[in-house]
Order: sequence, then C-alpha cells, then structure tokens
Amino acid sequence: MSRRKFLKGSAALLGAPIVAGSSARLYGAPASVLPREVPDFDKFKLPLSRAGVPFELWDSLAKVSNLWENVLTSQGEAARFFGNTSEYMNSMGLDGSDATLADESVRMLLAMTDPRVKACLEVGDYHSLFRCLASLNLLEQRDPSILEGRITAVFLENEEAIRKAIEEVGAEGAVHFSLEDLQQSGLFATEEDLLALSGILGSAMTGVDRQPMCSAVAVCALAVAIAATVAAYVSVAVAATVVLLVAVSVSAAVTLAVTATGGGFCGRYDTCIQPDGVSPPFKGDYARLDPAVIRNFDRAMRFSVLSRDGNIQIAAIRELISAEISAVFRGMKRAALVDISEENMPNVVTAVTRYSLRVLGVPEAAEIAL
Amino acid sequence: MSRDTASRNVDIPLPHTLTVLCTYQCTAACAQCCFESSPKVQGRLSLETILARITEAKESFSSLSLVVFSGGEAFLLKDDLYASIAHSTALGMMTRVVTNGSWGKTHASASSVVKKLVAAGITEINISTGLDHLQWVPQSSVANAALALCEKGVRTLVTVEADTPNSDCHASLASNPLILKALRSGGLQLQSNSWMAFSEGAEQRKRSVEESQLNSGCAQIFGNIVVTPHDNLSACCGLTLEHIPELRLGKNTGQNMRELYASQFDDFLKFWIHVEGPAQIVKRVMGSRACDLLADVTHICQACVILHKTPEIRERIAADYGKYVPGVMTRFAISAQVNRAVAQAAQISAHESLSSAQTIAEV
Repeated sequence: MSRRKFLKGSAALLGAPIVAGSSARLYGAPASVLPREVPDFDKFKLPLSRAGVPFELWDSLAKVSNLWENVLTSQGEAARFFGNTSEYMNSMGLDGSDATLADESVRMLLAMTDPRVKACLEVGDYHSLFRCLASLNLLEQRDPSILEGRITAVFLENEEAIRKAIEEVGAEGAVHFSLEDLQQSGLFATEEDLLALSGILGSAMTGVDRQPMCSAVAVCALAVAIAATVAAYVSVAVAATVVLLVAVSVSAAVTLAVTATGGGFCGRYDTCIQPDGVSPPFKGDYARLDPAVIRNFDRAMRFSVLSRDGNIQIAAIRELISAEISAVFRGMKRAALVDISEENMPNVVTAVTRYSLRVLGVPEAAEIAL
Repeated sequence: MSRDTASRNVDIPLPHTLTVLCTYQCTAACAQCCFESSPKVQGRLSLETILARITEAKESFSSLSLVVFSGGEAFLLKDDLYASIAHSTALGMMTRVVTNGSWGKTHASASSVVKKLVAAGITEINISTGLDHLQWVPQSSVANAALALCEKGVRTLVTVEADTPNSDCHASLASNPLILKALRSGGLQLQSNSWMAFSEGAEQRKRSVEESQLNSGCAQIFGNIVVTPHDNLSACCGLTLEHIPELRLGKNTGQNMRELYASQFDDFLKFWIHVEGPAQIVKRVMGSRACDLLADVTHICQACVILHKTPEIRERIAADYGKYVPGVMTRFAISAQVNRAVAQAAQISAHESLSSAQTIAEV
C-alpha cells in the first residue's frame, strides 16, 4: 500500500467508529492502547520463596539430572524405578503423587526402563513396541473411527464443492499432476512404482463418475489427485494445534520431518524445513483432525530420539501415514466420493500407503536395517 | 543457599523463540483484535531497537533458534522488516513473519515482496485471515500472497478464524483456485484457529476447541520471549498478553533481557501455567465453581486472562498454592530433563548424519 493511500485510509478511519473500543471490553483495555509508560504495581505473583516448601525439595529438584542418569545407566536403579515409581521418587525427595506419575515425561522415563520395551527394541519389533508404549499410557489408546468420522464429516459438509473440484481435476489432469510432481522433486517413487501399484488399484477402485478407469496409471494418480484436492477442505477444518498468535507447532513440524530428497530424516526434527518442490500426497495433514494421532506421533518421535533408535521414527511415520490413508479412503467411500468394495479396501490402502511412503522416501518395513 | 535463591537451582530451560511485535499499527481494524490494532494506533519499534534486541537475545540465550515478527502488521515496517529478517538469518536463526497478507494485492506486488523476503533469508510466513480480517484484507490478497510464497518455496501457513454459523470463509478460501494451486505445490498448510471475543456483542463462532488442548500446559511460558512495540519484555505471545500485566516482565534497557527472563523464576504461577495450563489451575483450586468461571472458554489465553483477573480465583490460588508446589515443580524438573535429553540426542544424531554424509561425499 502506498503511503498516500495508507494515509487516506487512515484518515477515513479516523471518522469511523472505533470498533473494539466502542463496545464494552470483556477484559479491560490492552496495554497497546494505553500510554507507553504504564507503572507496574500490584502484580499477582506466587513467590516460591514464600511457599512454605521444605528446603530439601529444592535440593532434590536440582539433582533431577542425577535421577535421570542413574535410572538410564544402572540396571538396578532402573528396576527399582520401574518396580515402584512412586516410592522411588519419594526416596529421591521428589513428589510421587498420581498427578506426577501420570505426567508424560515420567511415563517416558518409565518406558525407557520397561524390560518389555527393551526386548522389543532388541529384536526390532516396533509393532509390539507401540503396544507396550500404549499399555504404559505413553501413547494414547486411539479409536480409529474418530479420525475417519471427522474426515467424513468434512467431506459431507463440503460435498458439492469437493465434487466440483474433483471434476475439474479429471483423470488426465490427475496423471499430469502426479507425474509432474515426481519429475520435479526427484523422489524415490517412480512412474514404474505408480504402474505397479495401480495394478492393484485398477481392479479395486472406480472413479468419481463410477466408471472403471481406462488407464492403470490414472487410477493411482487419480487417488492421489483426489486426496490433494480434498486436502484443502480437510486442512481448513483442522483446529490450530497451537492456540497462539504464532502457529506451527512442534507436532506439525514433526510431520514435515521426512526429507523426501534424501530418503532420511532431518537431524533435528523440530527444526526441519520441508524441501522445495516436494508434494507428498499424504504427510499427516489429514491426521491432524484427531489430535490424539499427532500427540502419539510426537511422543513416538521423542521416544525414538531418546532411545537413539531411528527405526522407531520410520515405524511411527508408517503408522501415521497408514492410519491417515485408511481414514481418508474410508471417509471418501462413506461420502460416496469413490466406490471401493470392502473386500478391496485393504488392498487400496496398502497400495496407496506403499506409494506414499516411497514418495516420502520412507523405507517399507522389510527395508529397515536392524 | 537461602530460600530466596533455592528455586533458582532448578534447571530452567532457555527460550527457543524470540517474538518481536514490531508495531501495534495495522492496515486492518478488526472488530475483535486482541491489541485493538488499526491504522491509527501508534507504537512501533525502530530498526535500531529491533536489531539491538535480536542481538541481545541471541547473546543471552544460545538456545534461540527462531525469531517471529508480528504485530499489528509487521509489513508496515517495509525495508526495516527485511533488514531485521536478514539480521536474524545472519545470526543463524530461522525466521517467521505473521501477517494479514495485505501486501498481496496483485500477484506482481506479492512476488516483489516475496523476492525481498527470500533475499533476506525468510523461513516461513503465517497469514491470518477469516471473517474479521476479510472486512479489511480481501481474499484475493491472501491468495496472491500465499501462492507467491509457495512459488518461491517459502513454507506458508494460512490460519483462518473460526466461522460464525452464518459465514463460510474457510470453504470459500479452500475453493479459491490460487489457494488450491498453492496447496498442491506442497508448500502451503491451512488450518482453522480457535477464536475468542474481546468485547461484548460479538457473534459466536462455530468451532469448539479440543478439551485436551484447553487443559494442557502453556509452552509459551519459558519457551518464548516477546519484545513489544513499547519495548517491554513479555513472558508469552498469547492473545491476552497485553491484558495481563503479570506477563509483562519489564522494560528493556538493552542489557537486562536475561535478568528480566530470570525474574520469572521466583513466581510459581509461571511454572504452574507452564506445567498444567490456566484452565487446569482454575479447576484445581475452584472445584465445582470452575464450570461457571470457565463457561464458554474457547481459548487457553481466555482461561489465562480469567485466572489473572478474577479476584476470587486469585484469592484462592494465593491461599492454597503451597500444596501444589512439590508436584508441579517435580513435573517441571523432569520434563525439562527429558526435553534436554531429547535435544542433546537429536543434536548428536544430526552431527552423526552430517559426518556420515560428508564421508559418503568424500568417497
């Protein structure tokens, strides 16, 4: 906006009612409209120095790093901690109440000391590992129907617009879109991958017009294109994962952590930037409709870093993408956007999951080096 | 060790984000703006001050990895904004600008701005829009800005205010061809933000926030430090930060940022909000009364302002807080330890990955 136009707009506003200020404020006047120098008085504080807390607590809190070190390096300490966590915490001069034991960080430490978890890690059984972590309440027991139901609701709410958008994409455009993406981003998945996967899909799925697709490639490409098209509606329905002025949360960043160009992972998952030109069809955007999925994913990623086992990250991404694709395709079927039989649904989900993981550069289960 | 300094022995994590609220002034004058920003509201930081605060923050907190520029409308700073981004980039930090997208009037104007952003090293842009914003900034500007950013590979997030029962801003945006194109590029994310009213008579919005989010701890406290347009240092960047004097840590002098940050360490309320969140605190101390006090709360920042401004809650908290200290501080200390261990392990992994990549390259 030019300075002249801005001043003109400002002048016009001077004559207009002050919208927020003219109504009764719910929480008083913000400092932004008060004089620059506002004296600070009568601030509400809870001084720790006057909390009447035993002096020993501060000493214990200052030594929490010792607890961490002891539990993770000594089998005996780990067994004591895992055997009776509350008692162990108390013996260290710390709080061992139920609220503390339910804290995510304590559960994280508990998982690190659980013999069952260690056994899973030793043999690389990540499916059982996730079950163990769920039994320890580190991962939430998730109901898949919640994500599916929310995705379906968004589809139904925007049915007319989505149908119109899908029609505009069209099968030919879909193929172009998908292959163009592959060419641009230098991904691991190739046109041959699409062909192989669409061999499975070809007999399993019909398009939005309920007609069998003429090209095997087009089927998978159409699935991807439909997903990309409806993603706009789903993603807008996702509530902000951070409820502040600034928005992208660690969890959201984690879902972008996979670098498709390198086939590996960013070293620092909380600071990863998605590489230019990469457009994986499924990367956790839909899953954000169920915060429990993202919380579980975030915790699995943290646990992976702590246990220095990168394969947990790969397994967690596989779980996330698979859950997302399953929910999306079932949601599309319920909203009558695609027609896939129940018998063929597992094949469709598996095929698109494999394709999506390859686009992301995530190894499949058999490819993980143990 | 005296009781006054005992709590300072607890290992406090350092902030990872510096937010610079460059100006309260805005091209828009949204009815329910948390700062009541508008073109006529005064108060902005000079370039000299912004650069000095960024430098001081990085020198005080080596943990800082992200600088967020917000307002008001940060792009009103024009060249000063690009200079500030470039300065942050030069110090090795990522950058994000939160904007209403008013600079995207045409694709050409948007592209021109994006070119300067990229040259300065921008990492990410967040565009706020929705029913209130759209009265001042048209959807076309938002779409032009988003697409221009994605075309240059700048990660972009468009956050849409929750709609009223009668508005359909998000569906309209989602069907915008430019937005669809940006989404397909993979560089754009859309999300809907929970919304809160700041004055009476506001029409209710559709979305209800997830209960788990509302009851969670606040990562802003201790994680973010905020320089306001009045050059104060604030403890958070929440919607109600300028309504709660307790979040204002003090006036910046150019040499006291670390001291101001550390002034929080003797205030148990800050630890409590960080660990349990304001809604949970109100529930703990007020029992069944909490239902009435938190009725219609849709935002964690709303719960926070209610906590700070309701006399009966303050009285009860002040009387009872001692019994919550051991549990909350234990959870804080262990959580800090876990976060530190995760960060250290991640750094080691990154280092190993880098070494491995270098070895492969050499071979």
